[in-house]
Amino acid sequence: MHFTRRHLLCGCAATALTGCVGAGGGKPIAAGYAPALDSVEGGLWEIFNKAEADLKFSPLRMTDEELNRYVTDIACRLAGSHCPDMRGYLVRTPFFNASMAPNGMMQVWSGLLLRCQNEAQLAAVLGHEIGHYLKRHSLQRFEQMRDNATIAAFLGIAVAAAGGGALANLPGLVALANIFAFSREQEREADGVGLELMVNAGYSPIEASEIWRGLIQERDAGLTADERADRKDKSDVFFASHPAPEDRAQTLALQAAAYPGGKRIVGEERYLAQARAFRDMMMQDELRLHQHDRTLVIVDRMKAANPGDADPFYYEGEVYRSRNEGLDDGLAMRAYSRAIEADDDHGLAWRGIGILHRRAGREADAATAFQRYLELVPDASDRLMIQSYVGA
Amino acid sequence: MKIRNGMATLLLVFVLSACATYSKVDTGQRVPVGEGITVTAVGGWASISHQLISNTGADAIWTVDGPSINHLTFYSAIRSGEPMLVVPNSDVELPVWRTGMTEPDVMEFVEGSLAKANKLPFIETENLRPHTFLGQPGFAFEFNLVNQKQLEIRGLVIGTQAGGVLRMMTYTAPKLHFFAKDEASARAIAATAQLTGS
Repeated sequence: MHFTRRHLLCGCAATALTGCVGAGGGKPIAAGYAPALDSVEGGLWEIFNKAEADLKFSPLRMTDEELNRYVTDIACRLAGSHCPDMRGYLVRTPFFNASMAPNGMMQVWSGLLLRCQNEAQLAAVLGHEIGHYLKRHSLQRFEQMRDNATIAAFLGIAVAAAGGGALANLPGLVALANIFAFSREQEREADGVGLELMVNAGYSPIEASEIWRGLIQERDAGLTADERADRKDKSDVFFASHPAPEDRAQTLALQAAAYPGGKRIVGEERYLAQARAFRDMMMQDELRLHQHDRTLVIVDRMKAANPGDADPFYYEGEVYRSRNEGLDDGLAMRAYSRAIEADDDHGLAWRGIGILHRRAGREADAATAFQRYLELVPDASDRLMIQSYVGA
Repeated sequence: MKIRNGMATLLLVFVLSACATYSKVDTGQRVPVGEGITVTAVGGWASISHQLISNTGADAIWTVDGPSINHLTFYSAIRSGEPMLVVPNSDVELPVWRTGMTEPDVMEFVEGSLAKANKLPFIETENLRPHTFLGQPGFAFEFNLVNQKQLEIRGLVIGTQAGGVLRMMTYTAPKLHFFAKDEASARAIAATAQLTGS
């Protein structure tokens, strides 16, 4: 496995494209396996090989060598002898998703990296995707198709996908996911395989359940009880194509409890150390989505995991300043102030304070905060505008 | 209050490209582009029919090579509590503009509107600066985005907030070749913008 330049797709569902009637879907795939080029399965793999070639040039690729090596090492510890058959790609997209294509192309989106709290949680997701690959679930799914219209729709999407780059089209990915959503049994089986791979690699299996609990928290953030009961998350790429996370979290917790205890890897410190260099980029991408309640869940987790760190308070301030309702300006000011308490040189927190003062017409206070911001971030992208505020 | 029941511009232009009707806007011709704003055309722009853009949130959309390639979009009067864009048949809540926002707030409002309405994998804004628009103190900034087809797009936003109204013009085109091709023309058109009666 290597996380290098290749292609982008929601392969979790798209693994069905390996489908070949009577070709052995559901049977474990052998290490080093590749279908014959003149087989249906081989033709379908070729579609994804071309798509993967396009991914090499995606502007969304995260190509940092150290981060790619880190994720690759985790995936290889899980995949064992199948490691050389898979290729991983880190993709800058602020939504929770990871996927595996039938030809061994795995994607991990930055929105997932942001939400994992430790290495074991990332290993859980990677292990699940590897589980689909090892069990050839997509092929099995294709063999189960008896509906010509569904097959025709699938082929249409596959042909469109072969047109170049279309696999990166998110609505297309959701459509594909809906057509080829794995059965509950397959998802559970992949979870089970993933859990086993985690344990074999020394990871704490309970973390597989925890990541789903985190997603549930986010999904339900800011909703009333009635809204939670009536929630519809079709707009979410991940929830649109996967079983309810409550079921998954509960089942995974039960399965994890069946493994013997003992010292196992959680890897919180080393995960956070690796992710730290990209945390601000990922959080800025998250903040741009203006999904304030969900983002606050992420911020709260970050605050708990990083006591004394100024950044989570700054992000909290950004969320409230962006939401800009009711008491939000006060909440934002309090959060920025706590960021400053933790780090008086936090330039972006000073910027936030300046904006809040200016909104409220406190020009002198705004000027003081903005001047501090410009001192600390001399190459600020909004320097000219801020300078106009302070009369510099 | 103006009704803004439409589709996000970036989404819509791809649909429009197949069926839009266009009217050439002659260079030197002063034309209205929404509520109380006129501009003088510079370059080979065509205006997309009002019927076709009535659900975009924009008041006028012009293009040179087709709306899926490049477009000038005019927002003549966004009022407090209103979004810049609206996605129809969706429960997606878009950011709204509010009186009293600072220019950095407005930049983030535009950024968030585009990101959320279009489910963009990536967008970043840059170079926020003072800029006179409609004869009033205003702002300008650029943005870079990657759309769902992984195409890199660049945009220029010029606007002003005054009298409880946000007025803006955006110029958007693929980063490679197309943005630079008509950028000067777009800036020149922005420089001609006037409030009716001013």
